[in-house]
Amino acid sequence: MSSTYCFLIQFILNFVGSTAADTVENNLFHGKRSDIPAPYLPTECMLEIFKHVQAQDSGLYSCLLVNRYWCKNIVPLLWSRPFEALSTENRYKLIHTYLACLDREDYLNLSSSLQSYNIKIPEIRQPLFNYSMYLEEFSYKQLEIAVHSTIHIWCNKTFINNHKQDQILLIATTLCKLFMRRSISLKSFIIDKYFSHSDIPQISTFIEQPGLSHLTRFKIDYCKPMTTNTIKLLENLPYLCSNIRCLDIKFPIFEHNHKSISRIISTQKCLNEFNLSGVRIGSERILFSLQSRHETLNIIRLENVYITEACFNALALCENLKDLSLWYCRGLYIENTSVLLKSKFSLKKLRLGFSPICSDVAGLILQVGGISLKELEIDLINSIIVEIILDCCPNVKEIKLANYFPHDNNYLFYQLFFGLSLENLEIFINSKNLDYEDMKLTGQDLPPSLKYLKLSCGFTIDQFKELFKTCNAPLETIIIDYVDLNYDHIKVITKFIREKKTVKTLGIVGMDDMTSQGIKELKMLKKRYGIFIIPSYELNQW
Amino acid sequence: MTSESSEGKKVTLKSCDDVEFKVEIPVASRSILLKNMIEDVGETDQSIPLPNVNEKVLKKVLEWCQHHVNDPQPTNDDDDSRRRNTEIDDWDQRFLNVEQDMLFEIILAANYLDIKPLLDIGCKTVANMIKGKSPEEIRNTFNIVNDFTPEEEEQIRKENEWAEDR
Repeated sequence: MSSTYCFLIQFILNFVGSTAADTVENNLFHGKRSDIPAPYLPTECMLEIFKHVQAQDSGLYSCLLVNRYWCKNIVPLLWSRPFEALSTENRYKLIHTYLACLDREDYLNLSSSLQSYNIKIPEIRQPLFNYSMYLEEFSYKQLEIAVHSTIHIWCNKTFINNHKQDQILLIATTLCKLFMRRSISLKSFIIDKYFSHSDIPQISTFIEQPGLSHLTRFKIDYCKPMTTNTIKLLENLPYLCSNIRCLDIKFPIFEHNHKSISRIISTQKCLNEFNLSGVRIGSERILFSLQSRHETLNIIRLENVYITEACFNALALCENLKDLSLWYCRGLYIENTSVLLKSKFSLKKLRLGFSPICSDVAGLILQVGGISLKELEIDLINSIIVEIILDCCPNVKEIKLANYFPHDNNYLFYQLFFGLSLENLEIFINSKNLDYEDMKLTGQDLPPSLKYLKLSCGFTIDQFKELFKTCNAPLETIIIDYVDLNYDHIKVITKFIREKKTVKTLGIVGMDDMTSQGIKELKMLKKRYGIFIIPSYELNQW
Repeated sequence: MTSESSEGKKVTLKSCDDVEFKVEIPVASRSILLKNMIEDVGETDQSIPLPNVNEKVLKKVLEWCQHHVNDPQPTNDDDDSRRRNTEIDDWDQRFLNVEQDMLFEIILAANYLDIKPLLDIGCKTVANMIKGKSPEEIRNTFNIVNDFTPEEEEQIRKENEWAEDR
C-alpha cells in the first residue's frame, strides 16, 4: 500500500470522518465549565480568528493542540511558511517531519544514497498529515539552511566537509520533489543568495506537477554568477506557470539573462508588479517586454538599472501604473524621459532616488506624478524640486525624505511641509551617515495637519526635547527608530503624550535592551492613556 | 415593538424574534448584505426580515453601525488592514467588552450581514483572548472538549514541535 494511500486512510479515519461531530458548535455547546453554551461559529470565522492569531506571531502551536477541529484548520496555516525564523534545533525537527512525508520509495532511495556518506536517517513514523501539501512560500535558501542544520545534528556536529554540498543537494532535491508533487498551494518561489550550494536541483525536479503551476510570485536575488540549473529554470519558467503577479529580479550587472526574463514577462497573464534591480546589460529588452503587460501592470520598481528612451516608451504605455520607483538608475536624460509626459497613467505613489545632476529628470517625473500623487519618497530636495512638488503635486499627503538634512536649508523644509497639507512624514537617515546623529528638527517645522511622524534618524537628547516641546501638530502616531534610543528619550515622548493628548499609537525601535524603567513607562502609557504600543513584529509594516 | 434610530431616509429591519428597528439607510448600509438589498429593492415600506439575528444582537450591531456610519467603506485593495493588525480602537474595545456568548453572536451576525470591519474586530478580540494561553487554558476559556486520543495528541505535538517556541 502506498504511503499516500496510508495518509489518506489515516486522515479520513482521524479527522474527516468525524467532522460532523467535531464542529466548534459541538465543542462549545458541550463545554466542561460554562453553563451558557457559546454559539456555533462557521469555519470561515474560525479561520479569520486563526489568521489574527498567526499575525501576532505566536499562539498557533497552542491552538493546534486544542482539539481535532482546531488542529485541522491550524495545520495549513502553520505549514504555509514553516521555514521562517527557526533555530537550528527546530530546523532539524522540521526537516524530520518533512522526511516522514516522503513516499516509501523516495525515502528508501534517499536513505541508500546517504549511506554512502555514513549518514543514517532515523526511522520516522508516518505523519498524521501530509504536511508538504500546505507549503505556500518556498525559498530555496531556507531549505538549504534547514537541511544543513539537519545534517549537522545527524553527524554530531562533525560535518564531512568534502561532501557537504553533495549531501545538501541530495536531500534538498528529494524535498524539492516532494514539494513540487504534493504542494497544491505553492504561490511564492524564491531563489535567493545561496550560502553554500554549487547549484539548485536539476530542472527535472521542478517540472513535476502541480509544482510551480500555481505560482503568483517569483523572486530571484543573485549576487554571484548564475548557475547552469538556475539558468535552465529561468528558461523553463514560461512553460511551467502563467499566473505570476509579482516578478522580482535582482542580478549582478554582468549577467546576460535578459531573453529569459523577457519571455517570463510576456507569458504571465496577470503580471501586476515588476521589480528589477542591478541589470545593466539587456535591461532595454527586459523593459521593452513590459509593453506586453501594459494593461495589468500597477507597480514598477527599478533600481540601479540602465534605462533608455525605448524603456521609457514602454513605461509610458502602462496605463494602469499606480506605483513607480526609480532608484539610482542610469541613462536618465531629459530627452529620454520626456516621453513620460504623454503617458496616460495616474500615479498614486512615487519613489525617486536621484543624484543632484539628474535634478531636471526628477522634476519632470514629478510633473508626470501630478495631481494624482498621494505618496512621495525622495532623496533629492532643492529649491527647484520643492517648487515643482508644490506646483504639480499639491495632493501629496505622505512624504518620506531619505538622507536629507533639514538644517542644510531649513527654509525649504518649512516651505515643503507647509505648502502641502501633509498628514504623514517620515525622515530617514542611514545610520552609517556621518550626520546621522545631527538631526535638527523643531516642532514648529512640522505642519499643523501632521498626524503621523516616523523618525528613522539620530537625535541628541536636547534636540529631541526641543522637537516635542515645540510641536503643535496633532500627532496621532509616533514611531521612533533610532539606534541609540534610551530611557530619557522615552520620558520626552511620555511627557508629550501626556500633555498633548492626541497620540493614539506609539512605536519604539532601536532600544536593544529595553530597561525595566522603559517597559514600565510604556505600560503606563498603555494603561493610563490608552496608547496602542505597536508590537515589535509589526513595526516594519507601519 | 418598534425601535427608532435617527432622522433621514429609513429602512425597517425585522429581527428573528419579530422586533422591528427603523434605521437610517446609511447606518443599515454598513452591512453590505443590506446595502445591496436596499439598492436592489429601492424604497419600500416592507420590513427586511433577518432570520439569523435576534433583537438583542441586532440592537448591538446597529449601535456599532451608527457609531461607524461615517467610516469609509473597506475596499478590496485596502492594504492598510495588514499594517494595523492588532489595533482595535478604544470605542470598539469597550463595545466588544461583552459576555463571551454575545461576542460570538456579534461575530456571527457581522459575518451574516457582511460587515467586514465588525467581523474583523470581533475576530481580533477572540485572537487576543487566545494569545499567550496554553492549549488547556484555551479549552477552558472557550469550553472546548479535547477530543484527541492521547496517542494522536502526542504525535501532533511531536510532528509540530519545531513550531513550539516560534
